[in-house]
Amino acid sequence: MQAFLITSLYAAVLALIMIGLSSHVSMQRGKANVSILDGGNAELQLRMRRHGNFVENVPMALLLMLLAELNGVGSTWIHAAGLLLVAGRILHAMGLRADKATALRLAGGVGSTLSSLLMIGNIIYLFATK
Amino acid sequence: MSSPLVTAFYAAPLALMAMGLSMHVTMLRAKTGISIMDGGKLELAERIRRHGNFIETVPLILLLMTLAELSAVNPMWLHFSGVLLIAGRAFHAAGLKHDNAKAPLRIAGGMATNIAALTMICNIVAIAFIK
Repeated sequence: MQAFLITSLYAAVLALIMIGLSSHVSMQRGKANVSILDGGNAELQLRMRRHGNFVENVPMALLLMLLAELNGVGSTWIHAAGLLLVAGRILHAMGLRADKATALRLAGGVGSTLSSLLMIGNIIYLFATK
Repeated sequence: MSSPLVTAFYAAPLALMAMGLSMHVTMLRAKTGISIMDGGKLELAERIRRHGNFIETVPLILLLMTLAELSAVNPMWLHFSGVLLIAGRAFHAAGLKHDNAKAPLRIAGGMATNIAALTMICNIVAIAFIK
């Protein structure tokens, strides 16, 4: 096992984005004085879902990257998955709207899914060629 | 330190299950035009919670399995947890219904998931304090 894991680089960047999205929710909670759930506040719902979709996707995707990297999958693949994941999550957060499905949101979702599929493919390849 | 190959073996199909559950939500969003939240539609709420419960439990348990495997736990226990986790999540998703809080499949799925986690927790405690 190498001393520095490429996955940790992307995990750090993604964790920073997550803190941003989470703080965005907290700010709106303070402003609207809604302590839990969304209180029917449309702006709060939107910010919650920007953060929600992020945390529903990123830990699993990072875990796949970690497992692939620890099992010796090439660094090019890990960087490809990491870049797709970071770009995908930024696009998704920017594109998410309450009233319509946007191309940015779709592209973000596709980027995140592709990132995981790259890692799943590599893990399956490990077992197929073992 | 060993490579977490057994955990990877179970993580790949679980990640595919997560994608399936997620796409099930996306398809209904596209059909109904409900962009965020559930718009009061029970079928959408049900699909959101099938995916939600999955993603609220699986990453943490896979993390426990990764940590246990990196700490050289007996692989038998990883297979035990991995099989329980896959079966548990399939049961839970199949059993979750908005109008029945006591659906047997759902309860069995939740229990299997908890046992998968507890198995890893016990192994980690054993490695930490007995070895």
